[in-house]
Amino acid sequence: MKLRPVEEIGTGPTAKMASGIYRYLVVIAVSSTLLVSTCLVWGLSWGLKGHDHFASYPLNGDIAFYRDFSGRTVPEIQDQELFYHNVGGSVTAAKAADIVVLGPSFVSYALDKAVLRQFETASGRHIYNMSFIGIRGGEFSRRIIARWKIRAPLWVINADDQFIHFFSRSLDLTLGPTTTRIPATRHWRMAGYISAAVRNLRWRAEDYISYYRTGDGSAYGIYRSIATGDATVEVNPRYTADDNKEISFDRGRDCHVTPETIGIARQYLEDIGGQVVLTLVPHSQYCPAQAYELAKALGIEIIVPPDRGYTTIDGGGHLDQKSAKRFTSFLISELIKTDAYRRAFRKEAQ
Amino acid sequence: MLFTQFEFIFVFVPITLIGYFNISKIFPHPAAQVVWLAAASLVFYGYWDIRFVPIIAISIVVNYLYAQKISASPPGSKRKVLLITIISANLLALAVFKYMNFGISTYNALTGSTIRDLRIVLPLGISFFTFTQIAYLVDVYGGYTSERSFSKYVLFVTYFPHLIAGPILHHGEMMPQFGAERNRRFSAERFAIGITIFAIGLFKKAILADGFALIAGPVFARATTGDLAFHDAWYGALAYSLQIYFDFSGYSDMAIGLSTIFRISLPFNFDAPYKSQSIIEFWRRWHISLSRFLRDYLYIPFGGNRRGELMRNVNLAATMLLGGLWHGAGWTFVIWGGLHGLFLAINHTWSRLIPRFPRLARFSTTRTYAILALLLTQFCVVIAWVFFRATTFDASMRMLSAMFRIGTRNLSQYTSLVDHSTFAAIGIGYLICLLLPNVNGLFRDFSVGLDVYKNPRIWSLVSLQWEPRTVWALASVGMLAIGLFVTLISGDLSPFLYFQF
Repeated sequence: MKLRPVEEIGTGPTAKMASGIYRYLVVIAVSSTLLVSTCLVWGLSWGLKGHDHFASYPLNGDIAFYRDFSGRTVPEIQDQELFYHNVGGSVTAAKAADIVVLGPSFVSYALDKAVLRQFETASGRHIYNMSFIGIRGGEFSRRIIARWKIRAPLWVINADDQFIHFFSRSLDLTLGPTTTRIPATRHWRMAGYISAAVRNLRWRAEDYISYYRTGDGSAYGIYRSIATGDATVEVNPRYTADDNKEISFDRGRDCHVTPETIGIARQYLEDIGGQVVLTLVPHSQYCPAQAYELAKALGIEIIVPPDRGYTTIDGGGHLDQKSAKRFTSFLISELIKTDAYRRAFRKEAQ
Repeated sequence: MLFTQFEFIFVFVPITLIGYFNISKIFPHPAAQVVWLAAASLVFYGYWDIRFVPIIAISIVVNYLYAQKISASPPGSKRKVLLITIISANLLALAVFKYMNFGISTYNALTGSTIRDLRIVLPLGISFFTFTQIAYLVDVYGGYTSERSFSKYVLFVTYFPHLIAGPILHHGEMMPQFGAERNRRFSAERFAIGITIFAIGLFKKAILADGFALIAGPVFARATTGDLAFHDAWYGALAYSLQIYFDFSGYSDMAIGLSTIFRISLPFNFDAPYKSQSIIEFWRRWHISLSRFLRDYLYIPFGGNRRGELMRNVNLAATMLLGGLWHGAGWTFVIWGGLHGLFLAINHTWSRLIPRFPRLARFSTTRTYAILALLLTQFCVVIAWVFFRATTFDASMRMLSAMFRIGTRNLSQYTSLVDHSTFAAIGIGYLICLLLPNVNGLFRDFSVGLDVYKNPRIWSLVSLQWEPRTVWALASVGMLAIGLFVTLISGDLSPFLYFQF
């Protein structure tokens, strides 16, 4: 094989270029610095003013909400970065709550905002919905709680076992057919800030492109409340539809809690502290038996509503509005009767 | 790490660069720079997935030890056995990591079995680091190389600008550069040239390639599930043709630019392939380092053109089929390679026929012939890209049937997938390919890349030559800024196409 002599590699007409090269590099350095400075000053002044986090999307001008689940080409979720890296005001709001509810998207749909607010007004206790769309396992929530020292007096945990038990070590994120490890857990906090900011910019760019191409530049998607963690699931027309089908329960499942799950759950409860009540949002494959076994093994209370007449938006486990009202009302009415509730708020009561 | 990631550009490269040119002040021996760069390259690789590092480390150590053994053995059967053993081991590792599930799915399709795919993680760049090492072993066996430094060998395999997506390096070109006295000190000129080429590559990748991906992606996605319209299919195929060129050549430009900063020259990997007027010429201009590897380590060992025309064509077809399989574990890649093998065989036959017909020979020197040849070449290339891009054979057939269903479609109608702006974008893309010089031409006077292929015909309507002038500096900053901004916006959604190979 004929190769070029090494002595010829990297040589060039350097002598006549020397002065030009230094001027060239100075121009690059100066113009880059100017560009970056301008972008930083302008970007920070615009991006942070009136936003929960950099360039976040308010809901129709209401900065109490941020755009959480969106993406015109690839669906993406914002809240994982915000909670895991404590970006914006969500973690602070969760820390201030009296009752924090944990679980997957089933919980996002199952907790009716109006019922929760009525309870808050009546009881003076603030409930925070810290459920995560796409995440079945509770390890992600546990890490957030530990990282940012969220110390709720009372936790309500959806002890579901479909695909992955809530009390597992899983950090999987499932969106549609793909399952990946939750991206937010794989990078540093600074990358979390950048990732959240960039996602907002990307969604904005997508909206502009969509507006240019189709005339529709609406900032669609699910928004989430900073103060309560509630998601605007009502944007899905099926959520408020009257003709949703009743859940057809698969009652033939032989499901029992495993010693491993009990072990993880014990450690989980120890890590988060406070009082804990388990619950179970009804869905076609839910299994109260394992949840009751788990509650018994842990020595804690559990609230499972009667599983008749629940309707969902998808035939699975995402309750529609009328079922969410029913579920939330039942949950609240039973929750205040629990010993855990009384213990959690005993001092205040006294 | 991607070349476009901020941590790469603003953390990894500055630290590696500063360390590289300063370590010799502490450790004067040239090996210090080589070790530093090799260590940085392993960090770069491990940043993707730390599990990949032991795999490449084992591959390097085992191959190096075998190279030493082969080198120390006298010519004869033992030497040959050593070579065959280590090449087989390399190919076996590649087969397990890259082709095992392909084999299982093919077996299932043929026998009706339902064997599950294995959960195998494909180490990034395995094809690249396997083939570079096989070339080294073959040349050690042939007595063509005397370089035995372990640190240089590690750097040769892991050198971060090429590690993930090439170019495929040749030890004879690279190892003498590592630690060479004349490359050991920082050069402002090389730095200026390097960042300019990097900026051009970034712009090609982030703006042009990812822009065309927005057209091609939805079309090929539709092809997997349903029928397409005529416009959709053609625009999708043409957009992909541009996407893969700008993506891969942009990556190669970035690799060359980065390496130039370190005063190490890489081979040019592209030489305006869409200006080619034949498939033979296309393969001299497209992925040049792979073409060279396939020629030297497959086609010539197969017998090349030494046993007559028929065997030449058979060897070409076999080489291209394997080249196709190298790109991916799937039958669509094999078809892509087979098509190019067929095109090459036809092209060789045509080239031999032309001189026999004087009128044809005269016509072949005209501009009309050149334009027709260019269009025909591009046509063949685009048709083959359909198989390369489509995820299944059925999807590629749906694309092709839509592309050739002219009579059933009103040509003035567009669908939701494409519109007039798509047409304009593709037109601009091809004008850029045809009219502008590429990096090789822009930096012709600066010996930036290794000339592994002498271009007999550099032409472009716009005659541009890089000079260290303010306008070029501002253009570089502009390209970097736009490229980085778009990359930032894109997030992790758009990795380089060639990483999967």
